[in-house]
Amino acid sequence: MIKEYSIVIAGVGGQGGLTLSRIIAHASISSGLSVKIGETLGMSQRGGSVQSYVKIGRNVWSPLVKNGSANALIGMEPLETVRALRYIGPQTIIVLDPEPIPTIYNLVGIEKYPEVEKLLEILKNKTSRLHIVEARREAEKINARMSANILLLGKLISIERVLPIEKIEEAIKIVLGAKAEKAIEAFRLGLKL
Amino acid sequence: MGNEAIAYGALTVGVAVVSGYPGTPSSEVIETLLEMVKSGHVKIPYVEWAVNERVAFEICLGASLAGARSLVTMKAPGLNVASDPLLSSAYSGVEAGMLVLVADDPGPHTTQTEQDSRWYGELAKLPVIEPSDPQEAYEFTIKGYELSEKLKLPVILRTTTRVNHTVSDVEVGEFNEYKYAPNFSKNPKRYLRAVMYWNRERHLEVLETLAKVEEVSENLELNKILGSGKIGIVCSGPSYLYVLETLEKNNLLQDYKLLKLGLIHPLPKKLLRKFLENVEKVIVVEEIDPYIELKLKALAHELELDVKIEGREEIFPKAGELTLDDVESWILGKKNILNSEPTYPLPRRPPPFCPGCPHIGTYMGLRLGVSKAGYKWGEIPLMGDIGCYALGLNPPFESIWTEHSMGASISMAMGLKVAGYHKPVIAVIGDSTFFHSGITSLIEALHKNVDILVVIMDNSTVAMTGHQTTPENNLSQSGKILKALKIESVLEGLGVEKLAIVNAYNYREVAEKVRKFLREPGVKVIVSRGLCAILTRRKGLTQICIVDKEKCTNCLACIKLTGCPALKPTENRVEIIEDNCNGCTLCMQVCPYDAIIVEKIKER
Repeated sequence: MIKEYSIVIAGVGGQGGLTLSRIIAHASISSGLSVKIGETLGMSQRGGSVQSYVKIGRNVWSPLVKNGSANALIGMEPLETVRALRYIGPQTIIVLDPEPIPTIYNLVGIEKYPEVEKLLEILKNKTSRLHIVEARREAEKINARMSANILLLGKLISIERVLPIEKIEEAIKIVLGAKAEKAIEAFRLGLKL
Repeated sequence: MGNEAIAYGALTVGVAVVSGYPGTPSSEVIETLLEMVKSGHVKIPYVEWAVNERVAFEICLGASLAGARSLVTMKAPGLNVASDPLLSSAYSGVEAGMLVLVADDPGPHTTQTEQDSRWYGELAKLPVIEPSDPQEAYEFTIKGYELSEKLKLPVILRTTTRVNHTVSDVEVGEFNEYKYAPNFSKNPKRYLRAVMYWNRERHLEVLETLAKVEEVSENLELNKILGSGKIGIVCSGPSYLYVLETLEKNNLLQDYKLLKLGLIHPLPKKLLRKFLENVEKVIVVEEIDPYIELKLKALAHELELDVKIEGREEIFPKAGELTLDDVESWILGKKNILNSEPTYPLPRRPPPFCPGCPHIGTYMGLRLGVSKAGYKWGEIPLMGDIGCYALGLNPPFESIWTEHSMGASISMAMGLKVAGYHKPVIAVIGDSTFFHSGITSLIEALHKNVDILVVIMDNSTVAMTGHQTTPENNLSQSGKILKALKIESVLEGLGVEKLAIVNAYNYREVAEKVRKFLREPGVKVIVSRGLCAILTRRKGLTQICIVDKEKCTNCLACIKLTGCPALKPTENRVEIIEDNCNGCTLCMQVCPYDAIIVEKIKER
C-alpha cells in the first residue's frame, strides 16, 4: 500500500476539478487510505484559476503539497498547469489536456495567450513524464464533453495504478449519481488512450 | 469538508438555533444543516440565514438565554459587524452553550483583509479555541459547547480556510437531541448594560471566569505535547500539520518538543510555563499575526526566563498563508525557498462574469448611460461593494473604483460629495449587501439629501457564496415559507422619490435611466433586476443565442462589449458555445450586423 501519494489538479473553474478531487477521495477511503484535500477556490466558482491538492496514503498530515513534490498533476488546461509549476519535480507525472481556454484579458485583446508549445516546453524542462491527452476532444467523441476531467484521471491510472479501477468507478457513481454512466465511459476511454 | 464537520459537531450536541451570514470560507456549515433539514435527515428548530452577522449573533444570544444551544457562523469581517453584541456578550454571558464560528482567511483567498480574529478573544474577553483539521473541527465544536456551558460564556471557534475547506475522512458520532424547556428569567445585572456599576462588577466577574479557563478546560484536551527535545515549537491550527509533516518526514520528531495549542484565549499559562522552563529555544509557527509569539515573549519576560522565542515577527513572511516549504525551511534552517512562485510571467485569469450574468447588462447600461450624460467611462467614480458585481473591476468594464466593506459603496460615495467632490458619483451595490448594511447608508444619504446615484443590482440571491436566500425570497432553504420583502417597497417606505426599476437584460433601458438621473440633484435609485444566471440555468433555459455565419464579420464587438465567456473568437467569426449560453441576448443587442439570433430550445 502506498505511503503517500499527492496529486495536484489544475484547471479553470467549471472544468470539474473539485468533482475530480472528491472522486479520488471516495476511492481512497474505500481502499482503506486516509485522504486530505486542500483547495484554492478563490473567487473561482466559474472561470477563474482553480487548484486542488489531493493527498492520499496511510498517513496524511497536511492538505498542502510541497514545492516539487507532486507525484502527479492532472492538468485540465495548459496555462493553469504551468501556473502549478512549483509543485512539479522530475518524478511528477503530468497528464495534460493541451487545449487552451482563453482568459478574459485574452478575449478583449489586452493580453495574448502564450503559445502552447512554449508552455509545454516549460513543463518538459521540469519532468520527462509529460503525457498529452486531447481530453476534451476525445470526450466529445463519445458525447461526454463534461467528463474530460475523469478521462484524464483514467489516463493517469493507466500510467500509474494509484488506486484500484473498481474503487474509482464506484466512487464516480457515489459522486455523480445519475450522471455516472457517461463519466465511467470517459474514465475507461482514458485508461486506453 | 471541515465546515461539514462543524455542522455535524453541532448536530451531535443537539444545536437548536443556528444563524449566520454567508461568507467564504464559512458558508458550508449552515448550507450543510439546511440541506439536511430540508431533506428530512435531521430536525433543528431554527436554522436560517440572517440579514447580517450582527443580527445573527443577537438571535443566537437570545436563543441561548432562552435555553437553546446555538451556533452563529461568519467570515472574519462578519465578526467586525457582530463585534458590538460580541463585546457585550461577555457581560451578559449565556445559559445554554453558544458557539461563534469565525473563519479567517490567511492568504487571503477570498477576503478583503488578512484579519486575525484571535485578537477578539482578548478584546471581547471570551474564550477562543482553534482546531487543526476537519476531525478536530468536529471534536472542537462539541468541546466548545461543553466549555461554553461550564463558563456560561459564548466560545469563539476560530478556524482558517485550510480547516474550513479541507476535505478529509472524519469520524462522526451520533446526532442527539438536546432537550430544553424554553425559559427566560429576569436578571438585570446580567442583561442590562444601562447601570454602570453593574458593568464594572460584571467586568470583574468575567475576568475571574477567564482566569479559570485553563483549569476548567483541562479534561477537554484542547492542547497536546509531542516529543521531548530541547528546541520547542509552538503552533496552532493547520500550522500544526505543517510542522508535524515536516518533523515526521525528516525523522526529527524526537529532537523537538512540540506544543500544539487548541486553547488560544486565554492561553494556558501553567502549561506554557512548564513548557518554556524545559526548552532552550522556541519557534512559534502560526498563521497571520504573531499572536501566540507576542504572548509567549511577554510570559517569558514575566517569568524571567532566558528563552529565545522567534516567530513571524522575525523570520516568516509577514503576510500571506504559510506553506510547507516555509515551515520546513525555517525548522531545518534552510533558506531561499520561501513561497517560490514560477518565474514565468503568466497571464492572469480572474474569474469573469458568468455567461448571461445580469451584472453584464447593468454595467453595459451604466457605461452607455454615463457617456450619454456627457462623461467618459472611467471619468466619474463608481463606488463598488461586496459581491459578484465587484468582478466588474476586470475587463471589459473596469468599472468600480472601490470595494471596501459591506454597504460602504453608498456611504463612501456620500463622503466624496460632502467633501465637495465636483463630479457625479455612482454607488453600485447588490440586493443582499443592500439589506445587510447598505440600507443604513442609504437612510443617511436620503436624510442628508446628498447628490448620488445608487444602482442596486438585484439578482435575488447571495450569488458569490453559493446562492443563499435574501430577504426578497419567500422560501427558505430549509423549506420554510417566509415573508418576502420587496426592495422597491423598502425604498418607497424610506421616501426615495427618484426611483426606477429596470430590466438588467435590457441595457438600453438601464442606460436611459442612468443618463436621466446622473445630473439630477438628490438621491436617485435604480434597481436593476435580473435573476442570477446560474439560477436561471437551474430553472431551465428556453432559448439560446446562435451566430448567423453569413452575417458575422468577426468585428468582435460582442466579445469586447459584453466579455461574456460563452462567446469564442475563431479565425473567421465568433462562435457561441452552446453549452454555456444562457440566451440572455445581451450580445445580440450590441451586434452591429444583426449576426446573432435567438433560437428557442427544448427546456434543459
